[in-house]
Amino acid sequence: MMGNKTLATIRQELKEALAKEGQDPIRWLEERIAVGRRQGDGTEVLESLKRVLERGTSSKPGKRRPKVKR
Amino acid sequence: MANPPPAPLNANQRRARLERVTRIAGQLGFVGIVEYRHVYSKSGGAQYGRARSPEEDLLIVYAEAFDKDVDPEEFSLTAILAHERGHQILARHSRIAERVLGRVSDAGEEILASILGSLICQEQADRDNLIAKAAAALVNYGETPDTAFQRIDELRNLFGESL
Repeated sequence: MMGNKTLATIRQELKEALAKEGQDPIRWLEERIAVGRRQGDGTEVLESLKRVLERGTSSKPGKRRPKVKR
Repeated sequence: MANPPPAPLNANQRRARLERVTRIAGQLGFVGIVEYRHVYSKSGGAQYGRARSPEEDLLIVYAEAFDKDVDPEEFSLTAILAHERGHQILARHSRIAERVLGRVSDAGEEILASILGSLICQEQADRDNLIAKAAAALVNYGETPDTAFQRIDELRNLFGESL
């Protein structure tokens, strides 16, 4: 089961966990991605997490709420 | 006070929902019976049930999956179904099931289902979101971010070789 935790909550939890590492979460991920690339390691997971943290409300593929004409 | 029930749908709308989930489940490789129930559950949107044979396995999709699908701060319908297909892979894929069955807790199985789901989604955002779900769960269980992310990477590689 997916459970009821929202994507926004998950994003916040990840940000808080990374903030405990003493750095801006995106910066923390960017540094590890850079190291991984230099060492030839896979960085797909880190890059995914970076995209998730960077995304605001437009987190879903192909989803657009219809504009309401006023 | 109990939450209100989902807004009513007519027969055509219900059929359209069933057709949509059946189509997506098929694209994700689900084998078995797909049902749509127009009620709110506490599952998060869908539930996989293992039967005697894969063809009898059951995927039940609930109304909240469709609510989430239109909410930009929620998982898409495809991501929800991919997670459930991840459970079926854990239960049914010969090599993966052999390694996993009886060896992981229910909570661990949820993490593995998300990781598997992240491997079978077409859309990058769905893949990203399921990886984030697994990562947050691991971190919440006390793993450091470095260890959690590395473990997910290793599991994705391991499962990716088997799929």
